[in-house]
Amino acid sequence: MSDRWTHLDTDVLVVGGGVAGCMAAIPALEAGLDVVVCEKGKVLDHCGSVGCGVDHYLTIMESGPEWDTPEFLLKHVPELTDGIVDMEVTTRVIHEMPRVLRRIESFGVNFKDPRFNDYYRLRSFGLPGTYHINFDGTEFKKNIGQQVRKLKGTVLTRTMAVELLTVDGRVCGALAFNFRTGKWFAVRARAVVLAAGEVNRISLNASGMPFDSWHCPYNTGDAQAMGYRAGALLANMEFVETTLTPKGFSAQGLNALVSEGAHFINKRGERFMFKYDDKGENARRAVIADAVINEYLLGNGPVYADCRHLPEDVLDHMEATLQVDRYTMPAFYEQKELNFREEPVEVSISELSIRRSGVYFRGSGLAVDTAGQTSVGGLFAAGDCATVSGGIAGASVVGHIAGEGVASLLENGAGAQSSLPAVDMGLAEDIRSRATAHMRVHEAQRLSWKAFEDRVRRTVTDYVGVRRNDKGLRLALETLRALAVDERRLKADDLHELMRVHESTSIRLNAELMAESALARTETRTGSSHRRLDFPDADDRNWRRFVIVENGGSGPRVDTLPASEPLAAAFARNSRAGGWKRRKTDAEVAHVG
Amino acid sequence: MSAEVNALKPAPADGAVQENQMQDGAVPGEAAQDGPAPHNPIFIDADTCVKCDLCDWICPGDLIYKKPDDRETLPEVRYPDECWYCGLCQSICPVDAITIYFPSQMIRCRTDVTTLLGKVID
Repeated sequence: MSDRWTHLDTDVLVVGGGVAGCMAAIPALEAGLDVVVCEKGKVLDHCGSVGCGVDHYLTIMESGPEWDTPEFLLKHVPELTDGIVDMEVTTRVIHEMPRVLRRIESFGVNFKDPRFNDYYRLRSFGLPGTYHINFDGTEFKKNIGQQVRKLKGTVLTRTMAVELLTVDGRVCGALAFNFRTGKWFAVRARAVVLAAGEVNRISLNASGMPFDSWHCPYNTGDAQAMGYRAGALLANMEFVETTLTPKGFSAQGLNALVSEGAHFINKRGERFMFKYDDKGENARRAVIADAVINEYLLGNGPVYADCRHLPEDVLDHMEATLQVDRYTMPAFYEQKELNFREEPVEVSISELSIRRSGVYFRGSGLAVDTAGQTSVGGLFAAGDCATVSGGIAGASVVGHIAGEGVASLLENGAGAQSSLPAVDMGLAEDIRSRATAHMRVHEAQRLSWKAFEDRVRRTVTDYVGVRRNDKGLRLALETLRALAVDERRLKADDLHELMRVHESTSIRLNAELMAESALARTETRTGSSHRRLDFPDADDRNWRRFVIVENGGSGPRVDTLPASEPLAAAFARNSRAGGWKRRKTDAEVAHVG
Repeated sequence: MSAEVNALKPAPADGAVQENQMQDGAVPGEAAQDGPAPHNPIFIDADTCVKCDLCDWICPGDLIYKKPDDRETLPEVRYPDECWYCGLCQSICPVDAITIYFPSQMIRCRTDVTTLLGKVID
């Protein structure tokens, strides 16, 4: 590893080159700004959660019927989120959906079904209309990545950002390293967009293999961890998300199953979903997961996905598109010697993630305002690390909002005159030295990142997962804090492992933030997304509130905010306490005043 | 792990996953440190592989290492237990030299799902 630094100056640094990161980069590049994208994968066209494809896109299209308008969907957002949602940001996101869809189509994505040469729209997950376009998105990410390259964005590949740089509470860049070459980058930027996805590898799953995960296992909450350390406020971190997967293979595909009409049955052959929700299999993902968890706890497992009743043409379509979300799904069924057309498929809940708790529009992560900006000046967030998210559509729209927000800030707003402050190289050396110390750990002290992560996963599964109580959460916090002390013993034998070690520490920190937030919310909300056995009911009188968490210096500081407020109202409070003072929007002034 | 490991690995007959495949694709040193050798999900047929760099290039997890622009050496699956089973390497291989094999704990998973649902302490 070289001791030399590679210095880069740019207008905008985007951390994460998935859908949200690319969609943020595009409007910033179009505004004439220099953009550097820092990405752990090698190729922008195939990195991130949908690098191998996607088959659904949630959107308003304003095609005529009332249900296809922003106003109609917005009316239903409170019930879709059990009242815990940032309505101000969600309102902008839903209104932007049609425009962003057309933008993505202009990049070459074909959302139409070749069978009808039209959009094939399906209903799922409790949504009050057929909002999901079912399409062959094998090339979706490729088209978006190509657009970034066409606009001449700079991409640092196989590069992991490890720490944000701030001056006077405002972000001014980041430090990163390439885990193939060992080259270290000191990137100065007038604004930073964090778009590194949700937190995976945080709990156990049926196969017992940590990288067998529903969503990208290389998304490990690095953005949330960096943002937290830089002073950004996070919210909704108490909620966990799980989905249903074929038992043994945590893969995408539930949306296609339920929207095409699959049933879930228990060991007695009983179609049980209507016991839990009058929408049956079309209930919200959180409700489906909760129902299956309950069936297993009642002793009614195994649970199966049953497609046998479906018409041949539907089964043909399902089979033909089985590989779109996950290329290897046909091989899985083939090697399992299972024909889903003729036999029920045993399902399990997946591992957990901190993402969006099985509901649309309530993301867990870095709190953002209507421009995608966090509570730290110049720091933006989008995609599954931000507090409004919703699959690739959420990532696309909030990413695009953040990119336009950055452009607006740097052209007209508080960032317009900002010059790049010098990097404190003493501090940079300290950060690098701490990071690379993992390669110099004495053998007698060696702790492998795999063993460390296993302890985090076991702790989360047992005490911070789908059944929580005060005692368990406190026990988990004790363990997670003890593991923090062990972090200095994490040994990396090569640069690849140095990257994994940093992922492991992000996972642990996010687990701690989840446990702290879950301890604070003394009620149950959205079923197993936050089930407190010691507070088994929803408490609307006291808990129509966000749990927010930020760096309190010696540990996480948890607070609450009425859910009738936008999360940005808490940013304004923070700025009064001495943080960076950005110009408040009129809406924020109204809320504070 | 040398490229030979992949070259030596037999292709399972009729697509069935063999139990002893758990031992194939072992990473020397890894076994002693972290228990049994990991299953190698990415089988690269040495006879078919044209030794281009595409599988290394596309892998989102930094698992596959290939000496760049060298038509003599095979790609090496250096971190097999970190595979997402996304299949991007298989999808991009220009000569279909890659097959993904699932381990027994995935295709014949016998885990009791209730063990994933938390422990309740009073």
